[in-house]
Amino acid sequence: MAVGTGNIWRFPRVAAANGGGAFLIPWILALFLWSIPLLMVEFALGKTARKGTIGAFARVVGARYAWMGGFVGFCTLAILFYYSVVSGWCLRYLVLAVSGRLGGDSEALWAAWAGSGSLGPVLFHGLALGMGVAVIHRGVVRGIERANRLLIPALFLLLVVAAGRAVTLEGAGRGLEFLFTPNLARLGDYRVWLEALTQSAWSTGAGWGLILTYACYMREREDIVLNSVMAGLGNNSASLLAGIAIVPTVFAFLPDEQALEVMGSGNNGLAFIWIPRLFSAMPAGGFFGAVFFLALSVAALSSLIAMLELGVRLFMDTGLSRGRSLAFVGTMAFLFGIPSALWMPFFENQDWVWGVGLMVSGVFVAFAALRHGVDRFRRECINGSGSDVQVGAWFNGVLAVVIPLEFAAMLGWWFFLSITSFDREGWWNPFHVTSVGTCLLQWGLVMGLLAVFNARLARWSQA
Amino acid sequence: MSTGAAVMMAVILTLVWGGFAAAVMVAIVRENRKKRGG
Repeated sequence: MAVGTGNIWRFPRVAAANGGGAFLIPWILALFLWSIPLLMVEFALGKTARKGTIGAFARVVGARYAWMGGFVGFCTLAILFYYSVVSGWCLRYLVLAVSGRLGGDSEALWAAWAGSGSLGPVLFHGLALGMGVAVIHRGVVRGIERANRLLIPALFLLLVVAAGRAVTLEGAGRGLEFLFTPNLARLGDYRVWLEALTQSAWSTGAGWGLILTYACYMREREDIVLNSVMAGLGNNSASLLAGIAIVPTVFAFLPDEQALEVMGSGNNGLAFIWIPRLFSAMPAGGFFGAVFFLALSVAALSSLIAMLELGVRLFMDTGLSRGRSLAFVGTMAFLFGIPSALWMPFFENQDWVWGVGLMVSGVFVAFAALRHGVDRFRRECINGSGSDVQVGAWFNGVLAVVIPLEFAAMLGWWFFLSITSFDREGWWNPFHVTSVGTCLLQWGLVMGLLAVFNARLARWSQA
Repeated sequence: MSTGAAVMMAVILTLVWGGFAAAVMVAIVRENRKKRGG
């Protein structure tokens, strides 16, 4: 079960900024009608093709579609560039917790840190990447996996403890009320749906290509359906715990008006500001805080390592040696991550462009199964050998109709409203943080380049 | 807490946490069956 920054850093912030209870409805729908089916397809693609994203698309869908696998891989690499910045934040907070400097004014601490333009976040971004590269280079990935077996359940348990303490704080009830009140009026806002779908994909890993890469090494007898359901529901369970730990804490510490302002602001530091406050209100909070940030750092690093590994595989497919691929991906990630470490609007732009880009990746993953023949894909690749739990024919409908419709409706709704109503002047502007233009330009550039080199990509990936 | 929020909380937590617990149980039972079957 994966618990990480998607649950702790991203979910409470996105859920709070998008109406709390209203957000949970599309978020749950997205789990069952987007993320879990796509996780099944990714598992099956990797298990069938035994290749990375480009090779799997070239082999299962056809050489003409290798660029789609390239986009899936690039989207994850683009997330890696700013993900390592978040991993750096986790490491920095671990250092602060261990040295007993986490108490005090956590808002001022955050403001002086992330996006402040100081070199600290760049150094910790480099440190996180350096640690990831060193782990892969020294071949101690298995050691990290073993540590994760202890630390991920520890993180989960600490979330339970934190959530338990948060709901017993005075005034926490108002936070729970905010988190779970289904304000149905908010469901008329396209952004709530778009963010819910994006968050579900971001957190569960649907459309990242990481599950696909992992599944290359799956044993034949391992089950796909049960693994996908457990991964999706386990991930959402951790997200809810993080939300219950953080949102009521904000309401317990602040007057309602200010708390609502904090919730609506979408501050990237929500978890980093309020988790220290929560632990400071607990006995032995310093110790628990240190263990929490240790577990969060290890969880973040293990995701970072998986992303680095995906990039290394892609470049190894072009004929580069493993060492050179690692050096290349590591250097690229460091350089392209620097703007996100220094400047919060750039970070937010990348989180938006490539977070929503996961929808494009997701629809490409669904297309892979459709092109193969969705019923054949279900019977042979998902329900084939090693499958304990079989997925029914409803899956065909979800893949062939629901997922393409979700994609078209979400993007169409956003594009239409941007152009005709709330961003008429700037929707096309590629330099706006969350404009239509910035997404189309960045996705278009990447797709264009991949399409130009498609034949070469297909050849390399099958080498 | 309002009734709406309490109902929503109960539904969401049952669905997600209950669903996860059920999936884990099924996985454990099937794994044990596989081991017993050799």
